[in-house]
Amino acid sequence: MKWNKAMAILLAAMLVVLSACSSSGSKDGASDNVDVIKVWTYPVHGNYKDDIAKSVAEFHAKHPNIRIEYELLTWAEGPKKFDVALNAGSPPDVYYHGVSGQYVDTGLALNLDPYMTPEIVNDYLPGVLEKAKIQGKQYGLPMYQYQWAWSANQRILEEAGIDWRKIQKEGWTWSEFKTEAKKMVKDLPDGSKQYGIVTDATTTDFIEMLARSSGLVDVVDRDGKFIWNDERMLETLKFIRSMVDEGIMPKETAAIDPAKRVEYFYNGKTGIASKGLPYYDVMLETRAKDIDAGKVKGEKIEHVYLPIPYKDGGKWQATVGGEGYVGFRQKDDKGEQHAKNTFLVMDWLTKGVHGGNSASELCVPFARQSQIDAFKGKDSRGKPHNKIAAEINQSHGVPSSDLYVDAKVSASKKKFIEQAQKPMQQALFSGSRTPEQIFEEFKNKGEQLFR
Amino acid sequence: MVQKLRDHMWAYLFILVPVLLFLVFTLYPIISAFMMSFQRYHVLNPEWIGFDNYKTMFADSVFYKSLWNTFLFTVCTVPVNIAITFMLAYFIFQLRSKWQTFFKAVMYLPAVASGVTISLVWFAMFDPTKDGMINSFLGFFGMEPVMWLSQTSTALFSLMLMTYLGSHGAGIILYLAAMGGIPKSLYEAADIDHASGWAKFSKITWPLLKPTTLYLLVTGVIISFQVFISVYMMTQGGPDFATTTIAYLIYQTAFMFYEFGLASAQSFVLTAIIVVVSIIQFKMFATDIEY
Repeated sequence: MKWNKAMAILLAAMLVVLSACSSSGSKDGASDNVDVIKVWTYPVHGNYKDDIAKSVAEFHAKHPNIRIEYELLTWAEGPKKFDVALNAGSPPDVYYHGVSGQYVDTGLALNLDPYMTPEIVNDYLPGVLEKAKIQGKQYGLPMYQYQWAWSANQRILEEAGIDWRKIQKEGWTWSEFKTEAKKMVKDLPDGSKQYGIVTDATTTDFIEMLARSSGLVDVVDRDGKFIWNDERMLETLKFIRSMVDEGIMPKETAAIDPAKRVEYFYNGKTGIASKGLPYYDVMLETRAKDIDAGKVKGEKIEHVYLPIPYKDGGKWQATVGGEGYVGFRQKDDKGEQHAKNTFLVMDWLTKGVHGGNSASELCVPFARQSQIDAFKGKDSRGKPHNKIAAEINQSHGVPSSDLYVDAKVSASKKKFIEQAQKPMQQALFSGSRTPEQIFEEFKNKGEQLFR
Repeated sequence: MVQKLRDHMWAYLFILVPVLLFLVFTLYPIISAFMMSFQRYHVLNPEWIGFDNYKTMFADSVFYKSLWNTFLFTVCTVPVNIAITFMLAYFIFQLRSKWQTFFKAVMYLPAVASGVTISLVWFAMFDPTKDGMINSFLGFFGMEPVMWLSQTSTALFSLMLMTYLGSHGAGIILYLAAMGGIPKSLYEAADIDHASGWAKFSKITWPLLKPTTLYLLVTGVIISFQVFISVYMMTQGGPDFATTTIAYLIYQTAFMFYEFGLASAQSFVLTAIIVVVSIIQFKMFATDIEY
């Protein structure tokens, strides 16, 4: 009797497991006429969770035969989850990201060209669609035009007598920047120091943006030729090192991570934080409310969006791009109609109010005319002077070479960043290697990877 | 035969579940990874390339650097940690039963916390500014703040320090159990012969704890060769590859560069190293203990 009971429990447990496994492989009990499109996205802006829920509900009302199953990933773990899924051959149909040569190389990125109607092409503002192409083929639909530059504390700039409005309009050179940054360096009453600029040693954009401002648009040029072996790279490295040596940046920069960098900025211990984006207007506004409510202690900071200084004698070159949704097929291809439906979802999530809410919230330029129309006459977030600064900065934008080079070069570039740039930038900040040694290392690694 | 099978049917049935899980989640991935190590992995069209992945790996200076870092980390952490664990267990063993229980619980508590949480706590302790916990302490002695995780000279040591000051709980419990199992009569005999404390330790305690020490040594080396979480959380292999270990390199190769074939080859070299080192340890330290 005892054994029979045990046997029954064991069989029941096995049945439960088997039924769970088999149901996950079915079409979720949905009718055969309903095509399920999987979307993996992120909390793109503060209210995106609510915004996408609304967009999806409206889509379902209009397209009863297509069901969007969406998941909000975390910024920390989402990219890894996606990478594993992609390399296992089962990516979601739609993923929030910029286009990437590595995605295309898997053979699973969906070429959108067959589905691009003149209506959609014309809805995009000039030059925006190009930011989601790889070697001329459309793989993504941008939702907004992103840009990175620096963010500054208005009080500290003004106390140092810096004409930030002029800088926003006309830009500044490396030597002008240094002159101004030195004015912000001082000892604070609590014994700590106020710096001109603080960056972190983890993210790679600081060197990339300054190299771009020296005239080196990327690690490689549009033809895939390695260009960080140019003397201007050495000058960039020397310029960065001099900021530490001259006390404009903290000497512990090598040990600062992104969270610490923000801490310096929020605590008023730096005039400028790298990196910054127009969205800081919204973030600092929220923080100010939290300070008023007693949830957060600290100084309310008025945000000033500043361009990256460019090498003397050079020209202003800003870091810009397009972010939105990229389409994918799976290893077990679900057919042409499914691909069409995938594109339909991508178009829906990027057009009009559905896509425009991100540009509006992030205080960055819209990507599509339908977004502009949807937000006409509505109050938008962000400070007017920073919005103008972002527009000026956008006009100086130079897109990444990733959009033009083949997947092999794109993969080599990624390897260069991980195996040369990242390790060397910490060495540069800590002073364990000289700019000349790092430049040599770049040249050697570049020769090895891009020959 | 049939009768025997029938007699033990229940046992086989219950064993079947873990065997199936082992086949699906362990053996199959190992065989797949082994095959992948001879391929240029591509999700749609994998290509057989013979030993190319192994050649690429052995031509890569970062691989040798990671090998050296892993070796250094293992050599500097495993013996030291076993010594610390043994000493703590030895002192706890001298206490009364209720205090032993208390210290066992206290020492084991960190094992319950995830590696990620522990890394985050250490991350705050290694804060590079003078306000950082360790730097504040050094400041009392007039020392300048140290960038623990960002200098090539201190980064790997910092990761070692994390192991010295934690993760002894399981070892302490094993040692205490083993110490409790040593017959008191052996010590009484030694007392009759007027043996010194050192003689009792070196001739009775230590030899009889050898199986436990061997177990801790083998598992310690295996775990140490696979050190990943602290590297991933604290240093990302930097600065200047000072903390790049093999496990981190495998992760980087697979999930940053999408070179799964090469990552599989690196994994099998790591496996081979661990197997060889474990065999050597067994040959050198294994003894049959009877008492």
